[in-house]
Order: sequence, then C-alpha cells, then structure tokens
Amino acid sequence: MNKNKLSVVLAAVMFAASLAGCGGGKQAETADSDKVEISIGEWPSENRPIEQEKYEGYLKTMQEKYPDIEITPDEWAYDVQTFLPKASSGQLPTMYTCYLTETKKIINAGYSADITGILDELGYSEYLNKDIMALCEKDGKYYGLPQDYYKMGLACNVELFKQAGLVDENGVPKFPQTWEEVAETAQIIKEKTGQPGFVLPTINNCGGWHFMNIAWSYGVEFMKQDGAKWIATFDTPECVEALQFVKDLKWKYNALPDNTLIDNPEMQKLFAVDQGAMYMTIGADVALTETYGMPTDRFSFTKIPAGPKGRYSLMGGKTRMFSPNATQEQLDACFKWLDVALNFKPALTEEEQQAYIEKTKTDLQTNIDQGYIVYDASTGIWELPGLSDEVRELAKGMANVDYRLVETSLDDSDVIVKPEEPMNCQDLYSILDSCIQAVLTDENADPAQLIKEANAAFQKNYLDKAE
Amino acid sequence: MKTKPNKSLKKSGLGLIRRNSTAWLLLLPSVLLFYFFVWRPIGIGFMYSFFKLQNYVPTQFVGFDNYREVVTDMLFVKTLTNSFKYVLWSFVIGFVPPILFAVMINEIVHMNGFIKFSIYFPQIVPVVAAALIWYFLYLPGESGVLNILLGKLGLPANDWLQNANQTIPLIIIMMTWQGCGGSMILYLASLQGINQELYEAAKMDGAGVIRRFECVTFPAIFPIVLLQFVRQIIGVFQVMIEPMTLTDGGPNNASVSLNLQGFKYAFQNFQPERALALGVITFIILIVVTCFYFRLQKKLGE
Repeated sequence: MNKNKLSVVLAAVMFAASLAGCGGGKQAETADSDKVEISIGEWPSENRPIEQEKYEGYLKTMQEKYPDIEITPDEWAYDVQTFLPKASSGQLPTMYTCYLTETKKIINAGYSADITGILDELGYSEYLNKDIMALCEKDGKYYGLPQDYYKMGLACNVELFKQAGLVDENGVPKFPQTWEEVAETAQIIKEKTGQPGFVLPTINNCGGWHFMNIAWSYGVEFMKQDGAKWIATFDTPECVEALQFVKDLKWKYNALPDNTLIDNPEMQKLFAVDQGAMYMTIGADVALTETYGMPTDRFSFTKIPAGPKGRYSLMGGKTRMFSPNATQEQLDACFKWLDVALNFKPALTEEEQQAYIEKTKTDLQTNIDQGYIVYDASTGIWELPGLSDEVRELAKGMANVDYRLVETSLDDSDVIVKPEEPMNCQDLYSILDSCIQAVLTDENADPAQLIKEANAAFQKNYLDKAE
Repeated sequence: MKTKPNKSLKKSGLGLIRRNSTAWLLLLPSVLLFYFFVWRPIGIGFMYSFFKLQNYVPTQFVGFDNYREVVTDMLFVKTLTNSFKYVLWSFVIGFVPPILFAVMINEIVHMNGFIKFSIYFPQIVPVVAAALIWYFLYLPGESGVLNILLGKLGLPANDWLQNANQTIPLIIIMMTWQGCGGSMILYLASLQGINQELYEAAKMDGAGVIRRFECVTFPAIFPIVLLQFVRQIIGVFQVMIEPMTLTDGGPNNASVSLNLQGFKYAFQNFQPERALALGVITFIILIVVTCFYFRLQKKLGE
C-alpha cells in the first residue's frame, strides 16, 4: 500500500469514527412492542439503600401485577441547571418530580402532560384538594399532581436556644410568635452564643421566596389584575416596612450571618451545624440530618410568626409531573405505578383506608430507619378529613423526636396559607433578591427607594410584557 | 500529483477538492465537528433570537422583539457596564502579571520548572473548585481566611465580595490567579524565541536591565501582547461562571454580567430566546472589538 492510499484509508476510518461519535441518541426499540415503557424519576440513589430496596420491592410487585409495563428507574431529580436541557431534548422521565414553586413555570413552558382526562377516568378528581390543585391548573386542565404540600414555618435550633437560655423547663424553645419577637430572640442568641440568630437566604431567587411570608404578614399585596392587565402593587409603606424589618435584622439587631450571599443549601448547613438558630422552611429538611449530620434532637419547628396583619405562610412541597411526550398508555402505566407502589389514590372504602394507613406506617418507618426526623404525616392532596386525623395520630405515635418540640407547628388554625403569586413569580423573587441583598450589604440603602424601583422594574420588565 | 495542474480544473472548486482529496478527507471530521458543534449552533442561535420559542421550537417570527425586551430590561445597562467593568479591571489587575512572571522565569536559573508549575497550576483547577477556594478566602466576618490574616495584622475585617464596589475587582483577582499561567506560557514561548545575541549586543553597548527590556524584550513579545489584549477582552467580557459561583451576580446585581444574565434568562426563567438575543448582542460587541484589533495590528505592522 503506498503512502497516499494509506492516508485515504486512515482518513476514511477517522471520518467513520467521528460519525460514530455523533451517533447514538435513540436507543434501539425493544422488540416487544406490546410492552409499555415508562421511566420513573427521583428513584432513590445508592446513598439511600433502605429506600432503594423498598422501591425495588415495588418494582417486583408491579412486574407481577402488570407484566406488560416495563419500568426504568431514573435517579434524576429536579434541578434548575439541568431541567431545561433535559426537557427540551425530550429526555425527561415519564414521571418526574419538581418543587411546588416551580410548577407554574413548567406548566407555562409546556413541559408537562395534561392529566385531566385520566384523573376523571379514575374518579380521582372530586377528592382532590382544589386549592392545591389550582397550582397545577391552566385553562381548566390539570398538568401535575402535588404529592404532598406543607406550610412554611420556623425551624429553631434547640441547642442554640438552650445556650442562650431561651428554653422552658422542659427544654422546649420559647418560640417567637411575631416577627418582632423573631428579631429580638435572634439578637439575644447572637449576643449570648456568638452565632447568627436568624438565617435568610438571598440568592438564586430564594430571598424573594422567603420574603413572601414576611411581606404578606405586613399586609403587602404584590399584584392585582385590572381587566387583561396585571399591575404591580407593592410600592406601599407596608412593603417598605417589611424590607426595613429585614434591614433591621442585620444592622439594628445584628442577628444575621456575616456572609450575606447565602443560598438554600448554605442556609440549611448553617442551621444544621449550630451556626444559625432560625430559618423558614416547610419542615424537617432531609438535608439537615442526611447531608449535614444534625442530631435529630436539635431540631424544633413552629408555625410561621405573625406580622401586623397576621400569620401568612407560603405553600411548599413537591409536585409530580409527566413528560409532555408521554402517550396515553404511558400515563395510564404511571398511574398504575402510583396506585400499586405508592398507594396514591383516594382511600374511600374501609379496606383502602386500612391500606393507606399501613402504607403510611411503612413509609414513616423507612424514614425513621434512614435517620430522618418524623413527627407528622398527612393525606396529601386528598380531601379525606377522617382519615387525615387518623394518619396524623399515627405519625404522632411514631414520632422520633420529642413531640413538644414540633407540636406548635401542627396547631396552625390561625395561619393563612397562600399559594405563590400568580404572575412571573420567579422574576419577582429575583427582583426582591436584589432589594434584600442591597439592604443587607449597604447600611445606607433606602428601602423605600429600592421598593419603588423594584415595583417599577417588575411592572416594566415583566407584567407589561405578560400575555 | 506529479502531473501539471490542469488550468480549468484549478479554477473550479471541484477540481481543487479532487486534486487534494486526501487532505480534504482528513479535514472532513473536524469540519463536521465544527459544523455540528460550533457553526450550526451559532447559526441556529442567531436565527432563533428572532423567534418566539416553545420547547426550543420556534413558533412565531417576532423580528426584533426579543432584542427590544432584552435591551429595555432595566438590568441591561447594569449588566453591560458591569461586563465592561470586568474587562477594565482585568487590564488593571490581570494584564501585567503574566508578562512579569514570564520575564522572571526566563531570567531565573534555579527551580525554574517548579516555579513554572506553580504559576500554571491554578489553570488546571476546575473553575468551580477554584471559586470555592476563593469563597472561603473572601468569606466576610471572623471566619474568612483573609479576614483572619487581617486580624493577625491588627486590621479591621473587610466585607470583601459583599461590598458592591469591591465585588468585580475581587472576582478579577481570582480570575487572574487562575488564568495567569496560560498567558504566561504564551509570553514565555515568545521570550525564548528571542535571539540571545541581541541581549549580548545590548549588554556590550552598556544597556541595563530596564533598557534591555525596553529595546529587546518588549518589541519581541509585542505581537503576543497585542494578541493577549484582544483575547482578554473577548474572554473576560463573557465572564459567567466566576460571578455565578461566587456571588450569583450580587450584591444587588453589582457583579452580574451579560452572560450570567443570559444564563438566568435561559435556565431560571425559561426564556432561551432572550438569552440568545443577549448572546447575539455580546457577539456583535466582540466582533467590533476584534475588527478594531485587526485594524490596529495592520497599522502597527506597516
């Protein structure tokens, strides 16, 4: 072979190799076309062996009951950075989970399937809690299923409260009841222990998200609809006062961490390692114990503090959503999985209710075995009052923390729970993030001016452009 | 290839390809890769910036609407000036050190390899890891590494990244720490190509260190200096990961750059069309700068 020919061959091989590299993508379809294939997202990963084993058990049961459904576990869990590429390339799991706060955005972007038909068909619709389902609704159709929902409350670090002498004779923290008390308590903790009394996240839209609870309790209304138009309405003395409160936490009470640019995981970390005494959350975050090794007896939880206009709490939790490319058969299969594996259906008959309680019991036990904090359970989005009480009693009996540390969070009849603001919520959070960063990093920042600008920016950049 | 080139073939493109078939075949893989991973995405991105997108599928041609929305966003002026601030500070802080290091390494005899490695090392640290290191260095309050050092010297603690006036220069210091080694290697290569006789001649004429640098070293590395000048503008203007990991653009948008804003449009707000419009604007600004560089180079070359 002469040199010239050799190089031609070599080039051809390289070309083929490069094409092979570009290939791939769709995997070969399985020969068995009768099988319905679905993938289930947020499958427990290896670092949760107990839960993983449980899911493998579900898988087995499912295979026995519905041999024509093939399930692929997918460990991918919702993440802002990876969601869009996955969704736009059609790679979302057939059923996936996202945060309740992201639900509207995903529905508006068209990345979740319409499940109204199947909910009606299965007879689930009438038992769903309509207030929560409103978060998954668009033009009268449902595009997701909240798997559980929580009200935001105030987590308190028992150890730091104890060190600051802010516990009663039983060792239960003296929970602050108003935002004013939160500030004063936080100040005392900082003075006595040297650790920040309160942690407020400020970046990745978390600042605005947490600020909602404070602002609503000061009487802020963020927007209103005027005909087809939306008007930003938060340039008010109430909102300025709420922002002033945040500013005071830093400059008047000196109760916040030195580092102001904090995201959600950092906030949880500070709390878990006794470097932050209070923060707003929806309950015992798994990361506290699992990721940061917080001893369970240091966690306590109470209802959201009150402002001048009352206690307002933002709804939080997770939503199950379905790939927009899913076929009707695949959606059916997903609901069969929900039914068989997760017992996700309205428990109406005596037998079903018993099964629901049994299932809740095993789930709580799994959580206890995994070292999570357990004290509460609910019937999620099903409106089944009798069963709801029974499930809560069950959780109380199984609680692995001193119930007195969390009890006040459950008595929340005076808490007004609100879903997110209806329009451009994430954009609003982003704008409020900036205001919060400004008042926390600059002692001379003027809350009134910042709120005025934020209101104008939100109107001009987002509401004016909304359809 | 021994035959004389046929005139008519030489003129037609097909003939050009046929005559150098092997070369073209060897080029093909990289051309394809460029097409799929560079040119095509750029082309599509440019095109999509004029459309309304749903699931990355263009649904409606909207002309310059996306551009209008991006430019009228009240943050636009801030992101634009911030991006220029990054560039400006990168020249103040980051332009001279690589030249100094290169000259230094070129001069020293002992531990040359070790020092070269030490300066180049940060370059191979992933940006996110580097950002984490600097995050702890810049941490405000008593637990920050730099504040601990200041404390030992009896100086008051600094707010570092949280002081809006310092944020960009501090991010640039981190970027200089990380990127300095790469530029240094370029300068060093250029320095080592200088004919040593020139230095000897200069020495004989009685030139000192500074005079030698002025008359021999600097003219020799000047083309590289110019190249680095433009590369730095292009590179720093597109800064994103550093502010994203260190400050998320804060405090109060003091460090948000055009690209970081683009990332937020695309991934946080699900508005990729706006991100693309912003990308095209960035592209145009950089094209203008690059054209300016070529003209400058031509002028200086004359």
